Amino acid sequence: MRNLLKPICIAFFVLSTAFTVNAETVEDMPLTGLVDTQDTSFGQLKGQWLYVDFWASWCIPCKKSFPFMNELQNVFKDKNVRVIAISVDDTEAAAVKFLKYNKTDFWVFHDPKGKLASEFKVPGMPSSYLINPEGEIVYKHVGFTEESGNEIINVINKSL
Amino acid sequence: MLNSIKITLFCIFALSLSACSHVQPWEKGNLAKKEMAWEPDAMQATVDAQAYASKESSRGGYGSAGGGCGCN
Repeated sequence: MRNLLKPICIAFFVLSTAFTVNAETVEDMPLTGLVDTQDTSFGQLKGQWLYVDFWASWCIPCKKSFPFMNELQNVFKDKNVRVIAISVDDTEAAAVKFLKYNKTDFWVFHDPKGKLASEFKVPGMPSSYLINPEGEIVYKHVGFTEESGNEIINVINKSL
Repeated sequence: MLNSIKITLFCIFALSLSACSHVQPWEKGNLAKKEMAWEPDAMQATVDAQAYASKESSRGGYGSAGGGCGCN
């Protein structure tokens, strides 16, 4: 019995570690493009830094983050950083209407069923994630204020 | 003994029928929809509030917080 206990403990430890790593690595999930953005997947975007932002048309701080994301995309364009924004609006029309009045210099995707949001365990709106070229989440942020923008830029500068 | 088991089973069954569910942050837009408002007619609600305020000499305390994006 005592002989069995040690392998069970080791197996349990290894499995729990594997689960933790898996939770922080982005799997190859499809991304459905909105307006001018083409469909793609996280697998195809591997090899570059991704700033992933979950937003919704009914979320006021999300609206405030759009000029920041435009700036982010333009400033880090040549540094292998791509900004992608994922709308969790339940209808495409609501997201398209929002985009009509808010300029986007970055790719925009649609997640009407919240599948991606669920995978990322989004705790609030907006939520943003910095993903390294290996597909690992290295930074998470919830909400958006002016301070958030400075913090995110600092983290990206340090990470690159 | 048999009665207490029956009562316990009934309580478990009744509790399992509960319609409460956790609203995920990305689903909170549904709470902001017009059909989710406590008062279906905003104009009527304003008129009622005005009548209430003049009769009772007090106002406020109705409605509740809802929706929100769960941020900040």
